Amino acid sequence: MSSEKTTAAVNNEAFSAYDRKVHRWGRISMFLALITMYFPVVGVCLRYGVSIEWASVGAGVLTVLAAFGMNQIIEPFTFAPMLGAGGTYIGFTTGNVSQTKIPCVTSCQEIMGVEMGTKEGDVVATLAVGTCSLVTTLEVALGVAFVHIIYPILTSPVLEPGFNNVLPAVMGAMLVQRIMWNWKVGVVPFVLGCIAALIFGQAWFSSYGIWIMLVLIAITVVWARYLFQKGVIK
Amino acid sequence: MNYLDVANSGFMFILCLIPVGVIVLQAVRFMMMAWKQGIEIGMDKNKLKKCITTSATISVIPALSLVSLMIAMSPNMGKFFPWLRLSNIGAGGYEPMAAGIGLEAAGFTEYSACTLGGFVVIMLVMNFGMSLAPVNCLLTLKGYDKALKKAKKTSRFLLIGTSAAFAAVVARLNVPYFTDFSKLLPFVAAVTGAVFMFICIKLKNRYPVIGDFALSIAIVAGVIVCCLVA
Repeated sequence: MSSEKTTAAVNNEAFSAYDRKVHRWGRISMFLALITMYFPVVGVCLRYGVSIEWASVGAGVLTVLAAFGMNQIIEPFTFAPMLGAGGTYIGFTTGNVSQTKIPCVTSCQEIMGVEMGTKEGDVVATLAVGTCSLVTTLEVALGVAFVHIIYPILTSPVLEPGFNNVLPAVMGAMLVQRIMWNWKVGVVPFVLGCIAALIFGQAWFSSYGIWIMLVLIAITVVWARYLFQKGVIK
Repeated sequence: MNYLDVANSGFMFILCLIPVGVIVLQAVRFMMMAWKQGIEIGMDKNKLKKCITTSATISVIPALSLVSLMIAMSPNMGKFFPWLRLSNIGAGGYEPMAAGIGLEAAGFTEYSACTLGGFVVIMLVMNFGMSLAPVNCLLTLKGYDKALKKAKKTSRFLLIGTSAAFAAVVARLNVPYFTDFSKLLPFVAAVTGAVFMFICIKLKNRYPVIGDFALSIAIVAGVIVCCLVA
């Protein structure tokens, strides 16, 4: 009884009623999304009498996890402080976090004048990620419906180079946003990353991408802490 | 039976529509909760509306790259499953690669030889392969969020540290565009995006509307300059 009380007290201290609601709905909806994502497989197997070759599935999944598993373990921990709990639940249910969700969140927080990680920042992040997910889902659905109209536009020789390079344009813009947030902090990971890529090469940089990101985060946070203690940033 | 007939059937559309419906409901529900919370903590209604419209505007062009990916995948995977994959726990660069791994695991070298059983293997490999992040969130996010919230109450630095960590993430994602000299267009797009963002930030005090659409302006400029250079 007393341990139950203690746990409840700790929860109350850390979480508001809103936070508790976010986690409850987040877990329920994420679980539902995970289950229903297998409906196409189950439906096809039941209707057409297909038996699953589990050995092939296992081999394929292991290969995919070897390539992408570490990212999937580290990314939620990296992005959760920026997206807030609500934004993280939606973001990691719908995916494409760094390409579409993060740019929306940072821009909206900047325009609204709220800080990342605050109560206001979390509200803005949840609205931004939610809107982004709806727009993306709708747009891809329109792509499915009007594939014959959209295909020639997206693959035209004039426009294709532009559409293929949306992500670098987004990233370049975000880099400036971050550097202008505080150039003494923002410039450090970029310069260090460029030096590492130039010395060790692109192949090495992409092979160890997730580890390099962790090292850059650690260096930047330690550097920001040093500047904070010196009173350079407040 | 050709697996593509199944992949493009109305039956497959309905099976994919259900999980897509779940994520739409999730987004709407969370937005309603965030809106209510925003009002409760004293945020301006018009500003919250502006946040939604800004996010919608910014999302349109990056989502086009997902549309082209869906179109690229549809001849081999049908229209509906790529739609589901790119809407539900999808990742742009991951999906075609995971589909290729699934194809090989099913024992085929080309999609033209694939059977319905092979298609099932591909779908399962793509789904299971991307399930780790959401399972990770289900198991750890609540505890992690609790630890973060407690720490924020006692240390002002945690907010600065979060922004610093984010600067490192953005820097890491940018490095290949600025150091891989074999690829001109990504470099051109990144530089254009950066320059236009800088200009927009400088002009936003005088013309607030430019600040509101800064990222959209930078993205459109990057796309146009790439088209011109190419």
